[in-house]
Amino acid sequence: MRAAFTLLKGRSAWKGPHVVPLPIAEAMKTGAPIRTNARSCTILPQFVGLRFQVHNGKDYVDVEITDEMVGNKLGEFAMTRKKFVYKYSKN
Amino acid sequence: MCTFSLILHISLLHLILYEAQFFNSTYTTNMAVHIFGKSVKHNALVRIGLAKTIFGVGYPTAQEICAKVGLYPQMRMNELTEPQLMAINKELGKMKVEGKLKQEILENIKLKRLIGSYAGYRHAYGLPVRGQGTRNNANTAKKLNKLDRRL
Repeated sequence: MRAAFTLLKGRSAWKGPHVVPLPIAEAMKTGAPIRTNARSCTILPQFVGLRFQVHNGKDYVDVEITDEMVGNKLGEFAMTRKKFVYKYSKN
Repeated sequence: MCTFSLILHISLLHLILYEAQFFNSTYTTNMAVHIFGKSVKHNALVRIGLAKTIFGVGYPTAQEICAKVGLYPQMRMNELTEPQLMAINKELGKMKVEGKLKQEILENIKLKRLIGSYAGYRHAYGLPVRGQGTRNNANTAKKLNKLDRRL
């Protein structure tokens, strides 16, 4: 019950968590990072320990899945924005 | 005629005032009532006083507590007896309110920051967490959102 709640987060039960097909079985064998654009994919308990490369609009950010991340989306861990820094220019 | 009615009015007023005095005399103490380490206004209704002063107790929860302890709805804070106060304290002790609740909220925010999620980042930088704009305003978030959030 509790596990279902953390995965669904208010989403209706018949839909289940939003997951896209990813080459997980392959990654488990080889340990290679999974390169994906699916930022809206929910992190399942099976993903724990795997390495992902999540697209942030420009390049692929390395994300290693830990226990606490379960239930969040992949995109939450790949920032899409840079913090503004003022650059001093000569002249 | 006019003077007579005036006198009558005045006498009526006195009567009302007298009654009011009598009414007030039932509420003897003018001091705040202490519940769960918090002082509550002495003449507040119990359910409203609880909801207003204790963090984590709203109107429905306060009503629930009153029902469990067995207070009638119109009861005021200063009418509570010592055992009733103790019973309310006991009920509150079972629930997650005040310090415990605040601690949990802060821990949740810290966990979000620790795992490096977007929500945690927004908390740490004092920006709105749930997708609101920051072109103007966002003042509540700037005021409140921190890792050690003000509650």
